[in-house]
Amino acid sequence: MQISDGKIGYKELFSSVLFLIAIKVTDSTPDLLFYHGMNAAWLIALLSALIMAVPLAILVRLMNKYNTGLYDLIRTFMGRWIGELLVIVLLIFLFASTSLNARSYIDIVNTLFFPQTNIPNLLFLLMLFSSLVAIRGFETLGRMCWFLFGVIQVVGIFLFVTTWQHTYFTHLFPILGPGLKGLLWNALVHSSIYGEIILLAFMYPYVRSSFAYRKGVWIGFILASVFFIFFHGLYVLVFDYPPVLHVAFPYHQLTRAASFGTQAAHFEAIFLGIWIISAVIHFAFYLYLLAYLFARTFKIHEFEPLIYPLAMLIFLFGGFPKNIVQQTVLRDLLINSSSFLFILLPVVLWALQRWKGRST
Amino acid sequence: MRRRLFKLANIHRERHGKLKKVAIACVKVMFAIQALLLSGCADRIELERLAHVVVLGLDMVDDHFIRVTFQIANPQVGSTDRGQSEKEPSSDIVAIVATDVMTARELANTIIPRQINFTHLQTLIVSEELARSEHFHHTVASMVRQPEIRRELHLIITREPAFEFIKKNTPLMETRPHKYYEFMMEQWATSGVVPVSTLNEYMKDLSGELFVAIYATTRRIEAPNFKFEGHYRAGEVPAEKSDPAQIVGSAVFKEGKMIGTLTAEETRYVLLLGKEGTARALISSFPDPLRENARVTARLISLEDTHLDVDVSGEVPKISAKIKLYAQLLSIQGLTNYVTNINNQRVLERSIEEKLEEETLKFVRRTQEEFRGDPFGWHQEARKKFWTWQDYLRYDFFGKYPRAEVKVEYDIFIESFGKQFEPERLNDNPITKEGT
Repeated sequence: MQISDGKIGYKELFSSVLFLIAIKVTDSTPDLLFYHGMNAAWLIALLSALIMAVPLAILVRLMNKYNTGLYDLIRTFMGRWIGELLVIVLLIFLFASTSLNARSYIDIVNTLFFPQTNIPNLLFLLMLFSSLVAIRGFETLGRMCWFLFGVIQVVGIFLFVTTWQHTYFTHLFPILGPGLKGLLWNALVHSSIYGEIILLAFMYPYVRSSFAYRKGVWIGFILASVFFIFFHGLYVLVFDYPPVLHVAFPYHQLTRAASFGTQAAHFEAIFLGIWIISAVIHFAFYLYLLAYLFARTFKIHEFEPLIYPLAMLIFLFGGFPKNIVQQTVLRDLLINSSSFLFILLPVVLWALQRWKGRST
Repeated sequence: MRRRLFKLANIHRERHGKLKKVAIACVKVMFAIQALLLSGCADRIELERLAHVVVLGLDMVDDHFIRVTFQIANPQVGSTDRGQSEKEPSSDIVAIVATDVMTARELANTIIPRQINFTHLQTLIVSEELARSEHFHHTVASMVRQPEIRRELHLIITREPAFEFIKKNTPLMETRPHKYYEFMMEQWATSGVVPVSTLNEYMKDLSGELFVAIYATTRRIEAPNFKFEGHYRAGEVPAEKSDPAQIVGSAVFKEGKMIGTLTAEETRYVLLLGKEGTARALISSFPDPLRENARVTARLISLEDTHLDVDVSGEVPKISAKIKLYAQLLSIQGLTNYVTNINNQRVLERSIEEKLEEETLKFVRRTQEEFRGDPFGWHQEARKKFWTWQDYLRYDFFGKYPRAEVKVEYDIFIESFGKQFEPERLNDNPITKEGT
């Protein structure tokens, strides 16, 4: 038996990318993309992935060259003060997006499945279980993802098969939706829907080898973008364009439409169960990342105990938006502003590396 | 080194540790028991406490009120538990006057001891009166907000108030109401006498296209006995001593308001001319081209999607539709020989094609002139011709549809003849036939 070394291989890495990024097709992200991209939201997902691929490639190359994680890269090239400042900004972004997302997941559960249970209770339970999972460490998280990877694939395919009867391909047209210019701009400002792929670079020290990291990140990135494109297409195929704008939580309404013939219907509970498990892992990742960054910034060695207080802070902040609409507006703002950060960060690092390389 | 230290410490604390382990296990068990007791705490409800509405009816009372009819299934009917409640009916019907469906549900809960629940609701019945008013869209659109209401709900429009329809619709063989609708729906899926009309489809067709919904009634309407069965609408089918409800034909909606009705035949054209035609095997009769006053009945099978082409380059859209149908002759009432005589086969094929083309074009003209909207989903095909949504809206397909040039072409292939070659004839002697 192989002795555990606390590190993960490429399989665990790419399945964790799925849980960090691809799961967003089930929350309020599609609402945003449909609002901006109309029936061509799937094209935004595609273009965003293409845009994000550039900084990712730069970052992966840099990390390969220096064989360190993102944190040390930032420290090396930006110096102590600017580097710390940048990490703190990232930390704030991450914290804000975790609180907003957690709230949005709970809004879904509350609206569609448990209308009479109060939101603080649900949010508390989500954060409690996420932190219980996160405290087990990065390796466990990665393994859990790999363990559930097959399940997620099966669920995705199952959903596709059972809703196939409601799809109409003409709904995808006019193919460019709001026009190429609008699509490109929105793809650029929304590219941080894939931003976690950059954040995952902080976890580089936990990956077994540089090769495993590269392989895992790229496979995961491609899989996640396929998920994004595919689901945004599927929502339009079933709901058609103007109505899809008014459908809150398209994934969950889609699971309600799923049926096998007339006899087997109403099995959204299966999708709900697996989705909740995925959501818990999703937030466990966020919590772990937050604790890691926090500890590195403030020079704390044992960072895992930080997970509980961070979870409780997120629980508190998650209560701030009054409802899902306020939350979505804030989220759009957050995604737009962090997009530039995520795109520029690797580029700036690369430029600094070139500049420093020349001066020495 | 560190491990060894830990080991030493562990040995030291072993006795103490055992106690601790037991304590931890106890706490874990406590949590596990709580998980059993508290799971889904605020929304926990026993199955027995639910009243499942299987059919929902909506009527207009006046400008402010609607009457909501709940048909609640009795789960004991059709189960092994039947013996305990033999006298209970298969369903309970409650009608409440309120401003919207949700308040009606609250009011109904003052009468029904179980919590009224929509999760098994599959059929929505709306009276023609409400459907023809502007309140219809407001009622339905505000209803889908409720998470329990699925977008896959089937919409049925009735000539009479929905309450009357639900009350009278007591089929003799199908005691359980949800089974009745389920079986009927399976039947429609192939025969194509009514459209497939779910709320999801309705929500899609709100911007100028026509939406067709299932049309039904329990009333009998005086109508002539049509030679062509396709001319009937709900209530007109000459039936005696039968189950009261007739579900045939469709109600036409434009911009969320009912504006007319279609016969069974016209409904079939709607289904056939759409891109992804839903009528897969429809039985229809045609005049016999070689013998006056006789009819030929055939099952028409569509295996391929309708070939559609929408040309938007000109001032008005040019639409051409090609439909390939395989015919199975079921009955040749005039006893004409369409089987072994190849020439006659061709004549019949041409005659069916011409008949269908003529009738379809007549119907298309009706949609252009009377309804001024397209029920076939041709705008979806037109969408393909534009790059952006703005271009498509600027073209204004719905505005131009009434002037569109439409060409319809049918291709009929006689595929089989049933289990008989030439029709049996009176005094049909093979020898005399050979002699002549």
